[in-house]
Amino acid sequence: MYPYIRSLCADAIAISTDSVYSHKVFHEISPNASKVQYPLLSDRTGNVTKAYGVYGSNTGAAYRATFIIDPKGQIRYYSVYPREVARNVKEVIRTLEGIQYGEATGEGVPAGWVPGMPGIKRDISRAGEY
Amino acid sequence: MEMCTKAVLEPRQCFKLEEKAPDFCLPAYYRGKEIEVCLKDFRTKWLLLFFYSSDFTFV
Repeated sequence: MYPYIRSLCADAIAISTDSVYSHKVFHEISPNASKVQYPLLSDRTGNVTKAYGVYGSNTGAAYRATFIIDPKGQIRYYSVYPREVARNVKEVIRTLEGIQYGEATGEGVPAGWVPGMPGIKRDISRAGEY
Repeated sequence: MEMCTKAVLEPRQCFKLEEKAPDFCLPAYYRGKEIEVCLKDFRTKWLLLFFYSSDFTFV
C-alpha cells in the first residue's frame, strides 16, 4: 500500500508516545508492523499529540487519529476512530484521492466515489440530480 | 469549515479545516535507524499522519 501512497505524491508517518526502542522491537517482531515501510515517530512528551488535540490524558497515549496534510502544510481532513475499531487505510487513501481529484477538476466526489468515476459539478442548477 | 469532536478531543476541541498543521520534529525509527522527522520535511508532498495508542496493539 505504501508504494501506492507514494504514487499519489504523498507520504505516510505514524506517531505514538512509545520510545524509538519500542518502535524498533515492534517493527521487528509484529507481523503487521514489520510490513510498515514508513517512519514510526516517538512523541515521548506527548507534546505533539497534544498539539493535534488527540492526547488521552488518562492513558498518556494518542487516540487513533488520522490527518491528511496538504503540500502547503494545511490540515484537509481528520478523524478519530474509536478504541475498539482499527482504521481502514484504503478509505484514508480514497479520501486523499478525492481531495486531489477535487483540486484538479473543481468537482466534488459523490458517495462511494472511487478513482475513475466521474465527479459532481458544483452547480446549484443541478441540485437534486444526485 | 470546522469539525468538532467534543467528546474525545483535548485540550483543543476543534480544528478548522485548512488550518496550518502544528509543526513538529521528533525522533523516529526508520529502516533500522534512529532518524529525526519533521513536518517541514514533507512540504511539497501530501502527508498521511497516523496517530496510534501503543506499539504491540492493533493499529
